[in-house]
Amino acid sequence: MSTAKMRLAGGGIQEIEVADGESIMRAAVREGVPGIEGECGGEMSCATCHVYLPSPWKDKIRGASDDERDLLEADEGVTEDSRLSCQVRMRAEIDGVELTVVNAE
Amino acid sequence: MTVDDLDDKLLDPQWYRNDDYLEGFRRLRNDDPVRWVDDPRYGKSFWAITRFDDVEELLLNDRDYSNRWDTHLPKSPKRLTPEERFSQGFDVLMPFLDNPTHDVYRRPLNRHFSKPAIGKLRQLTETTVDGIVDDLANRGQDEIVNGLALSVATQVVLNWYGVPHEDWARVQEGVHNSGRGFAPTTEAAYSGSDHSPLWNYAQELAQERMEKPKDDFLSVLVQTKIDGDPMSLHEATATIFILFEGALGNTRNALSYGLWLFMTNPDQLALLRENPGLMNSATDEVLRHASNSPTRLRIANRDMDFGGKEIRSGDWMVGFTKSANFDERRFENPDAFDITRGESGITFGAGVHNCLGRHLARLEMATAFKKIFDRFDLEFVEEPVWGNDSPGANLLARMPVTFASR
Repeated sequence: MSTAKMRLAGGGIQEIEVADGESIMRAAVREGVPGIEGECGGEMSCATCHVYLPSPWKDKIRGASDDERDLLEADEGVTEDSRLSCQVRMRAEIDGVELTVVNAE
Repeated sequence: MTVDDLDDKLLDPQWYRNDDYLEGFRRLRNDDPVRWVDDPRYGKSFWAITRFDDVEELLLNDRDYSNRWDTHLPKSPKRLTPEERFSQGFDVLMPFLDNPTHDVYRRPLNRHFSKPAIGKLRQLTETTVDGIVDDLANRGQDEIVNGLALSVATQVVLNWYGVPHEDWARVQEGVHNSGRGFAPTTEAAYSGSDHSPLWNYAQELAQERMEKPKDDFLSVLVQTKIDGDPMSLHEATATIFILFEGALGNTRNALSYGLWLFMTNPDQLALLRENPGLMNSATDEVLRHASNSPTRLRIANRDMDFGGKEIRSGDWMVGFTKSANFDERRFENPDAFDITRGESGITFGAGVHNCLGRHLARLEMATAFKKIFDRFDLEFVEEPVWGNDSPGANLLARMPVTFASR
């Protein structure tokens, strides 16, 4: 079991446990992280799990696919660090990763 | 009534025109939740799946349960030839495809229908609904199903797509005649199944927008790349066709059902007016009750056990949406209309085939409810008429209502 630190849009940090191979979204929904809705269950169709994954973490894993990038473009808060957390799977390289939740709810 | 009495009822659209069918579903959930149903009139036996968890498994496990035949129980179980499938675009349309091909067609569309993307249509939706509601104020009375509800479903979407106003009736008629839109009808069974007028119109639009793009969504849509290459005319036609099919009938049916629910549950309407923040939760509760995508067909991909039954590869598995949405194992007091509940059940499906337009449908419904209930008190002119052309849930066929300014 690994951990991720979620910096919340409304302030504060929530630390969550994420199983290896599990998506950050799935763990965040399980632990009730505000701003991570995960409405589509990880099918990359709703874009309700937007996070910022900054350096150095983002350099340790593959970046967003074209499809993921397309979905993120519709969200006003999109930046170079944007990811859909359903597409970020926990692996040893990012144990302890710090992410920012973009939307408040 | 025992479960044995239900085998010749489940596929009869008329059985769903009063609430007895809810008791039938309850029997099935309790006594035989994965039941082998043989109705010779239909000509194909199938497993009737009625509990929430089982229907959800059917939808989420797309490796074991295939969409290769259809996504809903078809009116006829006759196999479509490859030529027939091609003529309706089944060869390139997501609801009839399994992965990995499904995602090749679905993923490029998701960007236009995500929650934030649909959020940008809020102004268009509000302006469109305002126009419809102003007209209601002038007239004071309307037949809801094919009046107000169909107008909202048609105008928001066709405005957004960029379909010329003079063609809106043609699209409505085409969707109705294709027989895939769960048409409200008071006839014994509505037999429309001619997809060609809608297909031909979609093809005209696809061709026009490919040759001379305009500043509209259809022009963006036909430029979608599939596996990195531009869509063909056949793919663009099929995509426009399915975006018409999905948008008009389903939203009309859910919206009119919702108005009926609020009119017959005045305490919940009062609660919503006092607590406008409950709107999204209320919309989901309407969707749970409406269950307006009433059957889900999947084909077993392998021999397996499911709910203690011996399933064989090729068996038809039919999930009944309304039964799942009213499953006591999942929902407390499921028959109650409770706008604080906030769960749409599996009305929109789940997993890879989750309804593409669900965020738009929610936006249209929430906007219409707000504007109608802010401005009017509603009263029935006469008893609503129930009628559906397909099995699985009841639909409103006709509901005349007066609108008095508040």
